[in-house]
Amino acid sequence: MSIAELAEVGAKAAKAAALLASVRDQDVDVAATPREEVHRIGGRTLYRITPTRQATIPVPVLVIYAMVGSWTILDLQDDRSFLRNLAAAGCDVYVLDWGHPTQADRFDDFSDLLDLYLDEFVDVIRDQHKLPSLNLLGICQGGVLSLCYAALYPHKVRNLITCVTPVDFHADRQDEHPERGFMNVWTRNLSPEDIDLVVDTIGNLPGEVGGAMFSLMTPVRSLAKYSLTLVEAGQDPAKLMNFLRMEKWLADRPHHTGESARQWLKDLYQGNKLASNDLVIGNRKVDLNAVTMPVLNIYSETDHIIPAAASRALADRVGTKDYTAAPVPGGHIGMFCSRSQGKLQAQIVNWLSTR
Amino acid sequence: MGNDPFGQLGQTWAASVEMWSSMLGAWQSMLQHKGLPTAQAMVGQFADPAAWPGSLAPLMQELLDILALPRFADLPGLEPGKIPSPAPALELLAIAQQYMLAAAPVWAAAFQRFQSALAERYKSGVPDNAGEVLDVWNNALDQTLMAFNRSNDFAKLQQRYLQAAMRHRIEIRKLGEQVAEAIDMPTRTEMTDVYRRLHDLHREVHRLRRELREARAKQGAEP
Repeated sequence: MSIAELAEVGAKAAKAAALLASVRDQDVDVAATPREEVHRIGGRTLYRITPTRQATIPVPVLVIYAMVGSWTILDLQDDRSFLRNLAAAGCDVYVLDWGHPTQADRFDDFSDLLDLYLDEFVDVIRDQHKLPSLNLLGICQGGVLSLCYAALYPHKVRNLITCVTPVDFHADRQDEHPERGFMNVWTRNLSPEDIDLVVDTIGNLPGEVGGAMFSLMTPVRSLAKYSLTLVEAGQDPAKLMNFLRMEKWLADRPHHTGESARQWLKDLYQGNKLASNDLVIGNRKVDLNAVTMPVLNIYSETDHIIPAAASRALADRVGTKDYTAAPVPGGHIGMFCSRSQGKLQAQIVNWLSTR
Repeated sequence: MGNDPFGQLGQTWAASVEMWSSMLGAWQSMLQHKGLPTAQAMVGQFADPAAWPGSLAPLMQELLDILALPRFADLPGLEPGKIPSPAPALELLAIAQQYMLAAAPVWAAAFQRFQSALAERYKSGVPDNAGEVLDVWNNALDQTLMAFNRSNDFAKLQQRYLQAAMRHRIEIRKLGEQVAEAIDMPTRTEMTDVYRRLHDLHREVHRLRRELREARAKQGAEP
């Protein structure tokens, strides 16, 4: 490294440090799109994105994000808000916030998530709009929950949209890649008794476990961002705020309710029961053949968390005759907060507008 | 003898003393034959810190098992079950050693990968700046660690770590629960029981509300 280079890096680092020192946590705003609380059950909340125009899609869309992360990634910043753009594209958007489960929620299993919370939220929206059914849009684990709900309550779901949703949890074996499907490999390396030991001992699955998983996927890149990326971002206040918003979202890792985590890891990641129609929720078998409403399945071929093959597997399993597969560019998270994500909303609205 | 109350008392007393004496004898014998060798073995192990994680834990557990005698109603019990076992903590120490052992070749592999990648990069000219070389290194290390993190060696260590960490937590909780009981605070076990009851009640309320709603809807639909 030449002296000139060293001086340049030093100057950049100094500029970034000065900028960083002027920012406080409260300045880093996420989920800033106006919304109203519609209904609340314990720590779970149903929000409606405040409409800014008349909806062109007459049936509202309920967005369900994963419990392993916060839904705020869908509204990370004004110019890249998935929810804001979806509403602007003509949808009446509702979003479910799973909140931050405490030990008091540790016994909530999939049956509670679907029958107790999600079904009540769905009924609230149906009552308000006087509609027999609504559109569900599930993302990642939220997509799995949406699929299960659609299979158990098909009469309440008009259209189903799944995004980066795993269906065949063992599909990563078809195309092993060092950067993809680490969660699948890691969980299968444990025994079912290990999962029981964790849940029985600590109750909820700590959010930090998810964070550690993501760090293990790309260990150096996870740390290098605090040197190279941060210094680069620190040259421009807007870029720095974008960086810090993502960091704020990553740091906000809600715990996963214990009993549902047990099912998630044992029945799905280890047992692959959704794909084989053997998943049982509240004494009822989840039969994907019962998903007879139109289905739009959005996934990314370069998703490093949910391998594309795991999502593509939905095609052969749902009972609908109106199935659309939609591979899109971008990563697992990037597709919801990148600059190009406007195309995703347009794709969704176009698909919904004809159904 | 039948008319000699003092003689009877003396006989009873002698029988009682004999019982206690044989009990103490049993204790002594047990401590001599099991406890002493275990304690001696433990002392021997203390001299060799490298062997602590592997061999000290089973001995300590054995000692706790020796102390786990039947409980008497009116005598203070040792209750060794309430004493946190150090075994999981020592197992964690062993895993740390194993991890370091497994990780050493990973660093060597990372350097090898870095050298190959750099040599490949030099074929198209000298890198423009140090940042580019750093990228090559980060990438080489990332690729190597990713491969290690998916390996069987890592999986086995992770599994052992997870099990030991959970057991350690259970042992530490024993202490916490004793403290909580001593100062009249709810324990984790009690709170878990409360949460389970709360959860069951929540489900019950939800079911009843749903039934009520359906009954009302049915009633309203009837002419």
